[in-house]
Amino acid sequence: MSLAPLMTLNKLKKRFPLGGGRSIKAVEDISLTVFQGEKLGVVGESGCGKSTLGRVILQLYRQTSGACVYYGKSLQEARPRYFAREVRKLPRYQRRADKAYQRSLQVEDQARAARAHMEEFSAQASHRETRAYNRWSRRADRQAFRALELRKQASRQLREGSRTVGSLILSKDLDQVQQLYTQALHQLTQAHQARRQLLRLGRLAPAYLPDSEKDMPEHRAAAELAQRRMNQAMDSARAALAQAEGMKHQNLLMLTERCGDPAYWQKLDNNQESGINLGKLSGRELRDVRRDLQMIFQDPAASLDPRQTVGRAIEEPFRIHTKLDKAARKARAVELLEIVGMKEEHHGYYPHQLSGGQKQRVGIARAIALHPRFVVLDESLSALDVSVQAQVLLLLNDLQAQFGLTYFFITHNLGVVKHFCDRVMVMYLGHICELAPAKPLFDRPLHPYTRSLLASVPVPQVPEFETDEAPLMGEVPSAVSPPGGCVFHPRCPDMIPICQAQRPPMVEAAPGHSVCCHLYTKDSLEEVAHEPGPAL
Amino acid sequence: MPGDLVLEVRDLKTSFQLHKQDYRVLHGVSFEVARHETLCVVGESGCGKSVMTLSIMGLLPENATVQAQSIRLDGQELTALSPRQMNKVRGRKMGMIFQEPMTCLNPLLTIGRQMTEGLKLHLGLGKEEARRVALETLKQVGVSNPEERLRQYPFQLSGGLRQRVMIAMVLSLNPRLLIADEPTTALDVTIQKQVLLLLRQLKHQLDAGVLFITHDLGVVAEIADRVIVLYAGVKVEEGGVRQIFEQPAHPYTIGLLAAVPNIKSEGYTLSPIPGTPPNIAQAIEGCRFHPRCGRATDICREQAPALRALAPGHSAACHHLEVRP
Ligand SMILES: Nc1ncnc2c1ncn2[C@@H]1O[C@H](COP(=O)(O)OP(=O)(O)O)[C@@H](O)[C@H]1O
Ligand code: SF4
Ligand code: SF4
Ligand SMILES: [Mg+2]
Repeated sequence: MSLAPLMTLNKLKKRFPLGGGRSIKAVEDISLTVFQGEKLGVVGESGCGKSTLGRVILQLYRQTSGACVYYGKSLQEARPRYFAREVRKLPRYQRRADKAYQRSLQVEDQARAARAHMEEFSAQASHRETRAYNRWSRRADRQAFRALELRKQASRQLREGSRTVGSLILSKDLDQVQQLYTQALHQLTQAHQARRQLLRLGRLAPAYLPDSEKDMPEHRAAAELAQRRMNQAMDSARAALAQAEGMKHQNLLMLTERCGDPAYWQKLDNNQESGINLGKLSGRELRDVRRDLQMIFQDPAASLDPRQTVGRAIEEPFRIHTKLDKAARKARAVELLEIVGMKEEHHGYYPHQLSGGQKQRVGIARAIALHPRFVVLDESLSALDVSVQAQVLLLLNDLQAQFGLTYFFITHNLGVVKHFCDRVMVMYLGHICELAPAKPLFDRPLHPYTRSLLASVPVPQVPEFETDEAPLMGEVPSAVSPPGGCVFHPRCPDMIPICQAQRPPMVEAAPGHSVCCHLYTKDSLEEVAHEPGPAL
Repeated sequence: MPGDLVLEVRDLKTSFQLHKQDYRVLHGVSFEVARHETLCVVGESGCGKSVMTLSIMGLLPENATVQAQSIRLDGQELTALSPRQMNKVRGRKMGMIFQEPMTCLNPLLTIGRQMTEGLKLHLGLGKEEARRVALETLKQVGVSNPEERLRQYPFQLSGGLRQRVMIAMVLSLNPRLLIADEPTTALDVTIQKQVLLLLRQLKHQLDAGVLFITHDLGVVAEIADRVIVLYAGVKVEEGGVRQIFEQPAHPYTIGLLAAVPNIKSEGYTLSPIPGTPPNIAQAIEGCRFHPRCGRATDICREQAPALRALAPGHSAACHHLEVRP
């Protein structure tokens, strides 16, 4: 496992509206980095949002807010049209931020005026005076709140813009920035075209063309030309971007009071995304990226069409995404069948002629057909018998080693996670409770929920003594109106007073081991110390 | 203590007719369940666990044939009963809990209505008495706000609560045999733990035996007194829960235990059993496990092994029991 990020989730949120202003809060504020080549286990009770999260990452559902950034492809590999859209929008972000800020200043003045009025009256005097006092007081509060909202709105606009150009969104010469980026984009598109040509010529993806064809002289000449064009375009694109970079932190527009603060510039620069913000892609652009992102579902039978042969099912991705001819497609399908431990004869089988484990293998073959980078497995092994489950896990291990896959492994089976995954994320009601490498998570779980979850798992060993009390009482509350403060507090055996009032922050309790619980924050550790009884 | 046996099954053979052909699913299974005892039947999907329970209850569809030397429930022979008599026995003496309680609950009737109907029908209780018993059993299984629950419909309850209500419903009829078929498989582990603990407590309070079907060895370890391991319609091993987990003898039991990723064990290496469990259409000569068994020799391919006693209460069906891999 390398430490290069493949996917980052930034405050990702997904709500399913129910009407009447109510919604199911399926995923709340998930921030996470998934690294290249890791096997990340995602566990939690049903309804905790695991599946929704997996689907939002793959953009099968669009997120309600937050960002999901993919680093597996560079901008010039993905069609950068969405980037062009964002560049065009830059002045709009700046304008809107300015407008919201100016308005907030006005509203603040009004609030001050209201407060001044308020003070003309006294709260203890006559009935009429009290009423006037209260009226002005309410108005002042309302306006102060509104000013705050407008201030946040301005920040939000700047933040959106900074995803594309970092702190350059504050630049007085935004026109020029825009021009340079457009220029770079034009060059990137050229490079992209040249790259596609190379792809067609079989120079970049040797697997798709037979060797003999690759070595034909006319191909070689065309490929060399395309290569040169690509390099040139990339060079000019880089030059334009570098020139824009040089304008950073100079000639700033003082849009809000934070604009002069270098820490704020840094923050905006950090926002700049070098990956692809999946939520901003259009349907067509997404299709290109989707080759890299695959999903393997729980029910192997339901994901296969009963009237389609195994071979046809596996060849489908090639029909959609490549220009391979029939023979080449079949050759690839047979190769894939062998990779997943099946035989050539299965090519002509129908799903009903396969066992559950074999169907799941076909699902896996299909998912890896186009060499994906990131695979979401949603309870993919849960329908299999234990004896077969281990076979499929071994297969997944092999494929990971062979193709450098990254797994987002959603399951309720903690035993599998312990022995298969590198890192584990524990979720409860749409939030991350704990995130740690597998070994420390199982050896020394920190979050009270993780502890009770682990204690609930049945183990194939006869217990030494019988317990009478379940480690975790009650059930998961509704995701429509989740509890305030720490969402786990109504069931938490270790609750302290602050838990009801305040949502705990995510803290790194040990290197790489993060936990979202008040017991591990400094403030509350002090509070625990003042508690009469031991809370831990 | 034969007098204490609530269920005694001898040589149970069940087959299905499909496309004018007979397929045998159970190849002569025998076992018994004593009072205050939980017998777990464990095996992979399709090995015949559910068919076994449905055979005992007489709930199989038309195309099934059940043959058995004897099925005795609480001293009464069931094989000779007519469907009507069987119906009566089922209501009075057997209680059933399934994986998905919704299949047994009527979605259109309140919980209270369904509970009291059963009590009135099978125990002949009056309306008030039935309500009192219903409330009491709901409390006994740890359902909060039992009065309110009686007024609710099944869909208004969570999965864990529905399963508790199902258990209460069965308990209120005071059965001699409780049959639980994968009752916790659809539940989250935390809720599963609650329900398993509840079943374990109830076992002591009830005047009944429990036949518990599951594919999960972790659940077996937690709840069983005795265990039978079923493979492709054959009982391959039987023993006390410690015997099965600490001295497993049959290659299949050993393989199954090695395949479970255990959260308490360190350095587990994924060790699958090769191949897949056979489906019913596959005819297998000799030991039914031989295509997947690492110890198989010629005799295994020719001759079905008989059960052999290893220790009191512990037996296994294998030609090569003494060979440890
Ligand atoms: N398409 C949908 N429409 C409405 N609600 C949904 C939908 N999909 C999931 N949910 C809800 O979102 C929450 C999280 O669900 P899910 O991600 O499936 O949980 P898990 O995979 O952990 O079992 C649940 O409350 C579920 O009912
Ligand atoms: S924050 Fe409080 S309620 Fe939440 S898990 Fe920690 S101790 Fe329990
Ligand atoms: S009888 Fe033979 S094939 Fe069957 S389990 Fe024993 S060793 Fe294996
Ligand atoms: Mg799910």
